[in-house]
Amino acid sequence: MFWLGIEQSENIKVLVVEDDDEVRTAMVDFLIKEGYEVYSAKNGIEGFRKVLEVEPDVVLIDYLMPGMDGISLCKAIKNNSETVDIGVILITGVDDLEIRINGLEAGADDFLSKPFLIPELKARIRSLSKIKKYRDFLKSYQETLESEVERKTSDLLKAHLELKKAYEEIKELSLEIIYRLAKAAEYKDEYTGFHIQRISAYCVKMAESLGLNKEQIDLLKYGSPLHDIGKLGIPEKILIKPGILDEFEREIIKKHTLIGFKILEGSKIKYLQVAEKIALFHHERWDGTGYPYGLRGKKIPLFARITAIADVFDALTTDRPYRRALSISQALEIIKHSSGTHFDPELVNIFFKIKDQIIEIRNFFKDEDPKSDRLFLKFFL
Amino acid sequence: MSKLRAIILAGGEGLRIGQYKPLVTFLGKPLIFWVYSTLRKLFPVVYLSFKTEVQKKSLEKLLKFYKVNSKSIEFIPDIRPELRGPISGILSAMHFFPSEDSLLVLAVDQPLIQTDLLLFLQEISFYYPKCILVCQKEEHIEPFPGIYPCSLKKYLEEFIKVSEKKSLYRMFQFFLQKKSLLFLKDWNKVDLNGKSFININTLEQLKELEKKCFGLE
Repeated sequence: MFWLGIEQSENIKVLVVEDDDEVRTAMVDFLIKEGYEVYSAKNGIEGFRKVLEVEPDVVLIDYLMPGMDGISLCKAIKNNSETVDIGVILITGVDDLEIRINGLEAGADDFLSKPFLIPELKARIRSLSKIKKYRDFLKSYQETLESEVERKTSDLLKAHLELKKAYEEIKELSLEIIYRLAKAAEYKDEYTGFHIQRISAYCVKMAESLGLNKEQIDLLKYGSPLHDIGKLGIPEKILIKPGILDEFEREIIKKHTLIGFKILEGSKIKYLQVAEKIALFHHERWDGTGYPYGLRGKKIPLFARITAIADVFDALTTDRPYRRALSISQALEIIKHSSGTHFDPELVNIFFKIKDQIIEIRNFFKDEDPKSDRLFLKFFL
Repeated sequence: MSKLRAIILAGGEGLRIGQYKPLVTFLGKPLIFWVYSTLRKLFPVVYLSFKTEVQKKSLEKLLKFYKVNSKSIEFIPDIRPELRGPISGILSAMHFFPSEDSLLVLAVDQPLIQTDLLLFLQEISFYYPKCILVCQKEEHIEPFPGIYPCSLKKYLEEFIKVSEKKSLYRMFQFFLQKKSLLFLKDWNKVDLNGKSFININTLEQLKELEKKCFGLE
């Protein structure tokens, strides 16, 4: 298909480089009569200039020429990436094997020895021009292919960006729903201002200091605010009872860990899978005296151990109906004293290592500051 | 399952005030009434520690007079009555309950005790289940109200055995060494003026406080 038309001589450009005027004129006349588009040059330098100018399909080069000889011109054509595909026929005066070898080394595609027969000349031109047209087609096909690939890649990239944008929007939506859900649970309890926001921020700082990777930090960041989601299932009269709870009431309160687990269990969303474990285990104690299962030490999931410290510190430094917030120093003293009993001692060490950052968070998310909610959403999303 | 038990120490001799202190009238009602009433807001049962049967009978008579529900009161007899001061009352209560329980111990002569302070102590005891928790006012230690875990019973017995003086001061020193004592300095977050710690040792103090209390809610 792609060589259709090649048989028609007028489509083929032939350049004749010959220093002998008579021979050159005779060849040009003959080729014009044969229907070729013919160009000519008297010497090698002029020949190369015309090669660049007219981009012929075939060049007929006389081997013996003054100045730039046939071999040199052949080399110049074949060493140039723009002209390398042009078919070169080297015309020699004598049938010399050594010259042919030199010609092959220079890149010549075919040879003709003077005197040559007209049909032989026609056959060689036809053959080389076919090859040239074929190479031209391949080159053009390659360019078309590359352009097509580029277009497809661009389309794919665009689709990828659109998908990424959609994913980010869905993620943002999911996280905001998680945050609002956690806030809903807070309102069921005594409203403790920006408790969940601070918990999340404390957990992130501890996780960073612990050397967890970005993905784990994000899981903790978005999972920890739901630690008390189970309080949605606790009767309000118990949850906000002003006074000391009796044994029965305390047992009911403790169920918020199991209710939280039930609310969150079975989710395919990784944040909720983490939140499920935090909700279930954040009241376990390092020494095994916590609830609901009395797990001990590192059997308590790491994220729950981290959240436990953050939760208690925030509870102590937050106003309660019967008391104002404890001082930071008293709260830290309590955390320190509970190391190894209530809390994982290694995590308590980390908490103290970053206590300045913890205090900064405490001051940043002040309960009385209406900006805190917006600031937190910025941090959260 | 650990529980917090509210104990009023009512086994004192009342030497300085000249009579059995729980029965001394303050603002028209016995001293013990005020402490008991505050505790009843938070606890279904209040425990009274006494030293002698005479004390117990006086208390029973008083409670009957005020028509106190008998189910809301329980008596804890002193198992070491030969010891002077409040330590024997604390030890007796520690023996009375399982070792995982904690005692919220109050003195009978602190009529202005604040429920918020008791809630605060209860909250902190959750984090320090094996520690005595008492409030500190500058350099002064307030032993009551305080949290005394029953798990420290053996330490307390050891203290009574080895210490010549059975004073609270020495006892606190002993528990400090055992790293089982914590001073709470933030009590003013719940009881701004420290009303809870005002105690009455003499009739003069009582009269003085009564005069001040007319302005109180």
